[in-house]
Amino acid sequence: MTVRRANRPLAVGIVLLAVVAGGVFYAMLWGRAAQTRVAVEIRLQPPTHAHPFGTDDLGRDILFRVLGGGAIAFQVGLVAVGIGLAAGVTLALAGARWRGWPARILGQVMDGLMAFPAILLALAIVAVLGSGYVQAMIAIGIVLVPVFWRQTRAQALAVETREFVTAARGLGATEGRVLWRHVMPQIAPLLVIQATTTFSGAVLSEASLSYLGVGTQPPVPSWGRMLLEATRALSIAPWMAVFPGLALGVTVLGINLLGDGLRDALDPQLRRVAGKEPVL
Amino acid sequence: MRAARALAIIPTIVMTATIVFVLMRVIPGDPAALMLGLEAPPEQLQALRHALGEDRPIWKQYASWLGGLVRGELGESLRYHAPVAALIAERLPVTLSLALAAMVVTVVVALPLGLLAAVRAWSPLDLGVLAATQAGLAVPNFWVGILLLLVFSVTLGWLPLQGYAPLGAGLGPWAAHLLLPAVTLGVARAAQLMRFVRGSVLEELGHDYVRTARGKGLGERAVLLGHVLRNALIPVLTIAGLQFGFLLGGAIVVEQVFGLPGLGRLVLQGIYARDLPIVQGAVVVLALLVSVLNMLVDLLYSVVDPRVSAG
Repeated sequence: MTVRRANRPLAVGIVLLAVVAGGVFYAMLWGRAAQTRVAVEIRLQPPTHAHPFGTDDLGRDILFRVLGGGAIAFQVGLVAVGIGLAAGVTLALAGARWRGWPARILGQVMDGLMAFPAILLALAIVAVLGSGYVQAMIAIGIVLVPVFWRQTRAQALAVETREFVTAARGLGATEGRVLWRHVMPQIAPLLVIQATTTFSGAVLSEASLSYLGVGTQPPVPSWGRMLLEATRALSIAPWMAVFPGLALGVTVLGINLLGDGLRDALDPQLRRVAGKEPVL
Repeated sequence: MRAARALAIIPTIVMTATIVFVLMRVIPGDPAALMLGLEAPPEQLQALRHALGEDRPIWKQYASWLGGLVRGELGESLRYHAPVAALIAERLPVTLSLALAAMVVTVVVALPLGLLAAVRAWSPLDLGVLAATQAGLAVPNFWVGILLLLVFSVTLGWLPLQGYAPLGAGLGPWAAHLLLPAVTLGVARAAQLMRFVRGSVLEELGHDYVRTARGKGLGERAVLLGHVLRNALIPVLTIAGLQFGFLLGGAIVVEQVFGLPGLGRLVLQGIYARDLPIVQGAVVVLALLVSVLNMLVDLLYSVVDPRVSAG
């Protein structure tokens, strides 16, 4: 094995995610119909050879629904992180250039947003946008904006004072060129790590919102929603509560390990022992 | 200096209140239409707009929102026909008990295990603790809650399935209703705090004063508890304080799992019933609680570590 001890998390994370993603991909190509096919005559069946994860209260195959839920989780996670990343980085870089009161107000708003518990802010946004997984994506994305804003801003301010930036300015580089060619490459590795960490938080948040009934709506399968449905049949069909949670746990574990591994690989100076702060 | 830090919370409070106002009043365009649906008769819409004070200019609405907050008035619930502040006051003790109990679980689990893991770094015990923290951080708290319900309430029947018993009804029922929710809410935070305690203690163990303390013949116990833990706890305290904010957020979901009538459930009931005054009031109260807690942690930090001036 050539995988260094420090990079074992990376390898394990990639393997876990590959297994989940492979299943999700398979279900997207060949299992779409099976995710929502109702068959009342086989409802609430415990795991069997034909239905390895059992069937739910409408006789739908839980394995295919779990894999379908994975597609939603990845979709919501990717789009939400994309929104947070794009808006957060743009605002931070713009804010680093504006001095005076616009930057101060932006800072106050971002700090104010960060003071909210993430799930509470997401719920408040869903309260006005309405329920659904697109709304959940947007809500989680907005919650992530100040997270990326804060990190990008801190890094950009630090890089701004470095000599190569002054040199580039001295050579007449435009502001945009300085930001994109000189500042961004310095920040990018940290943003990749941050994006991975927030991705697992986004997946968990989608599940939470769906569990609370305001995220993904039926009949679209979602891990959170499936767990909500499982609680109604807890005493007669406990398997309904096991597999969606397990899939969620394995996926988040995979992403977290990937994040730890990336941190080791991309930024050896950051110590892993200190533990990371969750953002969601 | 401490007074200055305490005063610095005022702009934070105003900002929090403003964000909630913008979110609830400005973004949706027409809350009355949102609440009554698209097919509501115009007279009804107009009446609701008037009841919500929406027919006034936006700055007047903003001023009365801030003024109301100062006086502790949060408007009237459309569904319960009761003042929102009273509804919140009814449910706040439930959420606070849950968060506090979860904090106790977090600290009781995380401190000893984190310390032990650091002292025996890279031993099987430590690796076990590290693996457990990874698992604890990966599983969603509501799933932990569902599994605990499945084992302890459904299968074994030891603990109640749903609901809450106020402290007034006796310590036993109160604790029985709160035990599983507190463990559920505490698991992820305990995992995180454990990681942090381990890291912090490991770092302190490498310092010269530890060698000095050992060199002057102090027992390992005295070195650990009297010297290392004391210093290691300073950063831990900040994290633990921030945890409380996360606990309040997590409580929203956990209350739903166990049917606890807390603030989180109130927010959800408000969302389901499209009762915006309730959502608005409960959200602002929860957010303000978190801000006040963060300020208290800052102040406490300067008490524990005199080098830090709370400015």
